[in-house]
Amino acid sequence: MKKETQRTTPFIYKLLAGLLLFVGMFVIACVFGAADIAVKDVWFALTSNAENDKISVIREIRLPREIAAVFVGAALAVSGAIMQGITRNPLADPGLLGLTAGANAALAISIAFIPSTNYFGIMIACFIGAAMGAIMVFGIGAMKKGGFSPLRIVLAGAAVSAFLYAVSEGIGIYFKISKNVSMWTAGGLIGTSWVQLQVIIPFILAGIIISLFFSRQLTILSLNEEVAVGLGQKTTQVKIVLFIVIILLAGAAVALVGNMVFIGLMVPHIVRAIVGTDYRFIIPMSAIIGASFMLLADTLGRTIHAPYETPIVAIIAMIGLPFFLFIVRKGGKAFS
Amino acid sequence: MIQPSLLKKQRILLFILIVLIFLTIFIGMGLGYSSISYNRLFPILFGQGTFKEEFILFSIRLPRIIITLLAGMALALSGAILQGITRNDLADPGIIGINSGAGVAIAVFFLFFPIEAGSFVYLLPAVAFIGALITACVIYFFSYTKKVGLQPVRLVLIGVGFSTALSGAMIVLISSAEREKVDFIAKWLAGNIWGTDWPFISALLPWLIVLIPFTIYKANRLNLLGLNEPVAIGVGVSIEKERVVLLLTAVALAAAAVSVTGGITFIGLMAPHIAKAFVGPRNQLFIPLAILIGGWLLLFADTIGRNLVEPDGISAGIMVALIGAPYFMYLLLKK
Amino acid sequence: MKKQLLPFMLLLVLLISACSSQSAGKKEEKDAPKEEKKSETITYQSETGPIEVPADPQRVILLSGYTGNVIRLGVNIVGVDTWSKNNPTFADELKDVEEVSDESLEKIIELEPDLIIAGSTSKNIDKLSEIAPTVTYTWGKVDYLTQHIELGKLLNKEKEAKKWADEFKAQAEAAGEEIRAKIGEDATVTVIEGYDKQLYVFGDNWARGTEILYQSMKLKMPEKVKEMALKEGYYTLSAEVLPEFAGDYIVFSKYADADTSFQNTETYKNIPAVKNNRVFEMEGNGASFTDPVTLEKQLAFFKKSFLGN
Repeated sequence: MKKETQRTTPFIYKLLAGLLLFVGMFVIACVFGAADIAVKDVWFALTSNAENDKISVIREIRLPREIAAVFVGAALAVSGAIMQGITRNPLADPGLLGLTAGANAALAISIAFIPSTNYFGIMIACFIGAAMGAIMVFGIGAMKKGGFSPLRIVLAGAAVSAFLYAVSEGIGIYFKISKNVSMWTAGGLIGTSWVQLQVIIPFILAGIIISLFFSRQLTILSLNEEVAVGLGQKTTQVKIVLFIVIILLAGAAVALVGNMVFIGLMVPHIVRAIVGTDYRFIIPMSAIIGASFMLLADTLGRTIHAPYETPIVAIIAMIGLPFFLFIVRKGGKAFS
Repeated sequence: MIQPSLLKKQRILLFILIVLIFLTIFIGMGLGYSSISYNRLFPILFGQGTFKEEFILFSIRLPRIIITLLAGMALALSGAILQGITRNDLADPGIIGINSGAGVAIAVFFLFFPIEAGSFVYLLPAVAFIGALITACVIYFFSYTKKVGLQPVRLVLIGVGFSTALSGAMIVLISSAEREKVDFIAKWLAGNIWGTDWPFISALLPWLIVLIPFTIYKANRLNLLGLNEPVAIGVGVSIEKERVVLLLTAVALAAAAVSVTGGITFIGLMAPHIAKAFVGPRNQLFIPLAILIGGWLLLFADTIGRNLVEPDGISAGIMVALIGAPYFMYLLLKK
Repeated sequence: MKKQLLPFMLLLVLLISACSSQSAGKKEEKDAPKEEKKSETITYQSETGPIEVPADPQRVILLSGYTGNVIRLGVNIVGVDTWSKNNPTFADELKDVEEVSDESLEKIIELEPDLIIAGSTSKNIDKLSEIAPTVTYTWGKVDYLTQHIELGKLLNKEKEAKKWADEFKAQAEAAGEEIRAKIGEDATVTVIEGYDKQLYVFGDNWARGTEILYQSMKLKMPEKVKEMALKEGYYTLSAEVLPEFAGDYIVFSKYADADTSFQNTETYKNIPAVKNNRVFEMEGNGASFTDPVTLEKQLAFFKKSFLGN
């Protein structure tokens, strides 16, 4: 009990520090970009009804995409954290584990066979696809005892992804819709509008809130399955709920920004280094750090080559590689 | 000692495969947009066809058939070696980043160097080869530590990481390019058999002629490397040296193949596995089998793929992944 | 002996090609009819050297655009590339024409072409030349009217091509005069395109009507466009800065399936050209061509849009 309080008190500070970082990042993201904008304008845009060109640029173009970045970052980081928890596998990530490829394939199928699909339909397709991809990967992992070994999962993920990408490419070529498919999957945050956000944010919020409720069970599960069962936890049910959460979060993120690897992998690791192994702390912190990180990547993407936008996907993949190498080298023995 | 019955089984299987390959070649020669009836094939082959018939057969279909066959063989051999030295049944030249390395090199070359009509076509494979080689070296460098040498598991994981990051780099490159150029790169990446002409065959063939006998000669070393390290050292194999030589062989084979065919995965994974399922894990037994299976599989996938959609067909790379990935998953389930 | 001759040979080749690029037009006009009667082939000075082509080609395959040029010159086409086939502008003319690519050699040989026109980056050029005389052009090497005249030379219809080019130029210039008289000498025009989720702005030689608007009609482009897009030909931009690039008039090449959500934003609606209803939307599909058929369509569109008739 005493130990508990000792750890929670500093966590609040850490959380506050995280929030501060997040707010700072958010303002920076709003200020930097193709059009010159002062901090003052951002303030007016958020707080007043004043109108001028710059304020409407912020409200209509920058704000929606920054908010999208926040939610996507949070969703990917949290889903990554949960995945790493239930698979006890430090390399789990929605992009590596077939969810993204599944969403792509579903997208291609729905565009090919139901051409009049609207935004909501596409999102549903992404969810179903992400679920299918994840079920395939986890299915292969779970079939065998000790199946959640890092190598197995990564390879199963690579195989399933390759298959599903081949499906979506094949459909794209066969039905001559590659262009439409790639528009959805490679677009990043460009042109995010309030309408899209209205559809997607509720899913992400719901996912994060549910995961917070289950964070305690997840902590136990992440340590040892036998202990969890011994403590009277219904592990299967908990796993199913968490699994649905992962699909909700990753599916929504993919529907909004397309392919995005590495965020879900990196952020939980950074967070663990700060707050330890308790998922009650990891999940909220992952959400905050994930959101900040995504804002950073998006700001970089918009400014490096302004006003031309470097796709955020690519920025993250390139920042992600050194990090991935670091994890693999540091934890080399654990993977053998 | 190799059991005589196993040896006999291998001989029979080799024979069946060779027959199968010739059968597929024969069927493939007659399949395509222009129809050449099968009873015309032999007259054409012996030089009694019209200009059109000869052109279709000798300039279009045969080069493509031979290239796919050779590339499949090279990829299968490369996969067999990689699986041996990493002691990991799931290694494959595509999965450990060789394809994406070649892809990035192609994209960079295509976008930033002036294109000259004539030499351009022949430079591409060279560029892809260099890209693949550099990537493999970098991956090797990162998975090597002074203390323990090359760590097989790490090699695979770092390979996967590199593929992902290089695909990201590719997106950056592509996104700033013109649409027409993007189309070309996308086609290459999907494993659309690129080098369908005799010069490419003469570029690929020497690798195979040299490296197939070399690998079979080294098969016993591979057997030892496949056991655990202490045993191999005990028998007196200088592990690190053998490993580097064999790894280089594998990379050279894969790079040579990928450079003329575009990104093709799974052949290198599947062929050795199927072969092992028949004759067991002894390298000198299964490698020849794996080579033939690999060649036949790619040929088969391309024969189907190129006749599927108008006007260009579905890339062999996609066809192979469609056939190969389910098999791979089945393997993961069974293991 | 041979080695010593080589530099001279090269020099000679250079001289010939230099001369021919200037005077080939005149020469061929005289020579062509004679040759036609004799051998029914003419020699065309292509980018890659002289090449024998039929004087009166009957079955032409196009692998890299130039479709509208050939249609306007009245030559029969038997196969075109995917982009042309999907271009709504040519839908009627190409109804019964096959879709081919530089990889579908078998289909090409079955179509029995007597002339193939390809791009310099096309694959299999040496094999194509075995099937039929194959002429390649580097895209964007010469301007759009010269390109048409080049094709005219190739198809032995140089006169028609020149006539069309002169007439079109005159027409466009006349329309330009009228438009400038109406909208003012200093009024600026911006050409933008929404494709996928990206937004592009174009210089004066990047299709989408830019050749007509800027080169022939001599309309002004906004300073910012001149600065960023003129040299490169096109420039990708963010919807945020679109107002900076917007001229007094905007020509918007719009793809039906592209993301155009920015059109609903206040930022966009507050652009003066938008407020004043000075945005002209044209079909993006097919707008990237610069052949006579497309150009005439575009000229008519601009006349209608700017002058209201």
